[in-house]
Amino acid sequence: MLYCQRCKVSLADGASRCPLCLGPSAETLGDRSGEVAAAPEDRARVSIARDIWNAEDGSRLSFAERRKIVMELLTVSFAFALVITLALDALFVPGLSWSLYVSVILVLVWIFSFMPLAFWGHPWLLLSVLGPALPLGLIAWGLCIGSLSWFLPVGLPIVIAFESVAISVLVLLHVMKSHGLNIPAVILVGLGVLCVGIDVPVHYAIAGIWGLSWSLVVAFSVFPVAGLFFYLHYRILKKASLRKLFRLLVFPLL
Amino acid sequence: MANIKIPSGSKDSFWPLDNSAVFMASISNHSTPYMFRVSCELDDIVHLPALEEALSRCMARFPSFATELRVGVFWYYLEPLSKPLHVTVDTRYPVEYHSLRKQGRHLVRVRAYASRISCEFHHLLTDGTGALEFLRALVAEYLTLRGVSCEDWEGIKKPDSPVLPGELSDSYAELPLGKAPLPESLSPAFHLSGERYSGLAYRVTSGTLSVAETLSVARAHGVTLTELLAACYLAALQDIHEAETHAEWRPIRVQVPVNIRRFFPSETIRNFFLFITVTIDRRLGHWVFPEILERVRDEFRLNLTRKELCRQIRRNGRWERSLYTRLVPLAVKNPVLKLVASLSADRPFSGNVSNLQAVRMPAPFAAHIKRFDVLPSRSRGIGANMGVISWNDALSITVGNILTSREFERIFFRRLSGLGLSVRVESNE
Repeated sequence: MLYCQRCKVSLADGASRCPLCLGPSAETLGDRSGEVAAAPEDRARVSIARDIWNAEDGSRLSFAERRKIVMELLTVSFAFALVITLALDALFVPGLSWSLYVSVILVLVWIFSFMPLAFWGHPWLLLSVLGPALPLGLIAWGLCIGSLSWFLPVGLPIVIAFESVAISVLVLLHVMKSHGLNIPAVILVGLGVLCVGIDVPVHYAIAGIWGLSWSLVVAFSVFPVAGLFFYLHYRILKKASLRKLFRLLVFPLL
Repeated sequence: MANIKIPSGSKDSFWPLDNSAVFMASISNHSTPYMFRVSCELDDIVHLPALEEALSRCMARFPSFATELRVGVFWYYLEPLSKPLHVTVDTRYPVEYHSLRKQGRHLVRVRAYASRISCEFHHLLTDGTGALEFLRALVAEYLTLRGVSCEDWEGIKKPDSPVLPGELSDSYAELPLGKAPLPESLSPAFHLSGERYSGLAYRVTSGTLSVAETLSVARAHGVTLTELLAACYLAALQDIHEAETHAEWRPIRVQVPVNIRRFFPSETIRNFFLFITVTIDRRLGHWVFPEILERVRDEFRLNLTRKELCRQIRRNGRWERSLYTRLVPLAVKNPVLKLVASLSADRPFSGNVSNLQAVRMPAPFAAHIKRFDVLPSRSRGIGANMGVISWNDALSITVGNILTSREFERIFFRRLSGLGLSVRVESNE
C-alpha cells in the first residue's frame, strides 16, 4: 500500500507521487497493521498537526521572483508608452517636439519605480543611482526647451534641497522606534525646510540678493504644528506620565 | 431579496447571496477572511482516492457548494462551477484567506491529513449547520466507499438522493420583516490588545473535555453547556481587562451565533443564523463567576426568543430589501459596507463562541470516527474566537487566536480546570 509521509494519507495503487503535496515519491508500506505501528507518534498528534509542511508556501512565488516580475512589467510598460509617444509625435509633426518632454518624465518615473526594486536591500547603491537621476532629468528637460541657464542658479539648488530633505525624512522615519503622529510631524518639518530650500535660490534669482520671503510664513506655520504632533506622540499617546512631567502631585515627605 | 427561481442546471442558473453573505462578500479580507472549518478525525488514515471519489459524489448532491462568487451590477451572486473540487493538502495555519476575486475557484476547501478530513468554507456559502451537513455526508460516503455498510443514514444526505428545493433557498428572504423595533445599538466593547501575528500564522489551541463531566458541572450551576462556556469566556476576558494597566473600563460582550432553524423552520443548507449577545459591564465593578453565570443565563433566556430575533431580522433585512439600496451599484455598495464594517462589525464585540452542538452519525459510521472539531474564522479585530462541538463524550473547544500572547487560552482553560473539569490542551504553535 502506498503512503505519503508528509500528508500521512494512503494513495492509489501505482501513484508515483502524492497528489496533495506533490512531494517526494510515496513510500510503500506493508500491511495496514504494520503501517499503524510505524507511525504511532503521528497518529497521536493528528488532531493538531504542528508538523504539516505548508504546501502553499511551495506554490507561492518568492519575494525575489515577484520583484523580478514587477520589474519586467514596469520596463515593458514604460518602453511601450515611450515608443507609442515618440511614434505618435513623429507621425503627425515632422521631427520630435512634445514627445521629448513626455519621454523625459516617463524615463524619470521608470527610474524612480524600477531602481528601488532593482537595488532592494542596497540603500547606498540605490542612492547613488537615484541621486544623480533627478538633476540629469532636469538637464535633459533643459536641453528639450533649448536653455540651461536656469539650471545652476535655480534648478540644481532646488533638486539638492529636495533630495537632502527626502533622504533625511526617510532616515529619520527609519530610525524612529515608534510610528504614529511623529510621522506627519517629521514630514511637516521636512516640508518647511524644503520650502526654505526652494525660496532661497528663487529669491536670489529674482531679486539678486540672498534672502527669505514666503517660506518664512510656511515655516512659522508648520513648525509649531509639527512640534504639537511630536508632543502629542511622545508625551500623550505614548502615555508618558504628565504627573511626573509637570509635578502635578506633591507627595508628603515621610 | 426574494428568492429568484432559476431552474438549477440551466445555463442561466445562479443563486443570489443571502442576507448575511452579502455583507461578508463585500468585507472579506486578509484580516477577517470569514473562512471557518469543520473537521472529522477517523480511526484510520485517509485513503485519498476514496476521499476524492466521495467528494466528487457529494459535490453533486450539494450544488450550492459547487459554485463560485461572481460580480453583478448591483449584487454578488453564486454561479455554478462545473470544474471538480479536489482534496488539497492540509496546512499548519488553517482557515487562511481565500481570495474571492479569483474566478473559477470554489468557496470551499477539503483537506486531508493523516486520519483527518477537514472542510473549510467561506461563510458566505453556508453556516456551521450546513457545513456539518456536508462533512457528515462526505464522511459517510467515504466510509461507505471504504467498505463500511450502513442501511439507515439517519437523515444524512446520500449522494444519490434528490436535492430538495428548500435546501438551496435563501431562508432569510422568506422571513417577513414585520414592524418590530430595531435592536438597540451597542457601545464599543473591550478588545484583547497586543501584538498580532503577521502573515498566515493563526494559533489554534484545542481543548478536549468530557461531555458528561462538563454537562454535570453546567447543570450544577443551573446553566446549559453553551452558557457555561460563554461565562468562562467572559470571565477570562474580564481577568485580562483587569490585568491591563489602563483603567478605562468597557463592557465585555461576547456574541453567540444561533441556528435559527428551530425558530423559523427551514431545510436550507445555506446561511440561516443570527447572533445573541451576552454582556458584563465592567464599569459596574468586578463580576464574580456566579454573577457572570447568572447574567449569561438570563441574557440567553431573554434574547433567545422568536420576538427578539425578529428585531434582528428586520434590521438586517430592511436595508437589503430597500428599493434605494437595490438601485445602488455594487461598486458603491462595497466601500460603503466596508466603512460600515470598520465602524461597527467587530467594535461592539469582545469575542465569539460558536457551538455546533453534538454531532450524530449512524452507529456503523460512528465506530470509525474519533472526534469532530470546529475552528472559527480569523478576526484581527477581536483576536480570539472559539468553536465548540461534541462527539460522543469528547467535547472539543477550539480557540483560534491571532494574538501572539497565549494569555486568553491560559486563563480560559485554567478556569475550566478550576471548575473540576479535566482538560487536555494542544496547540499548533
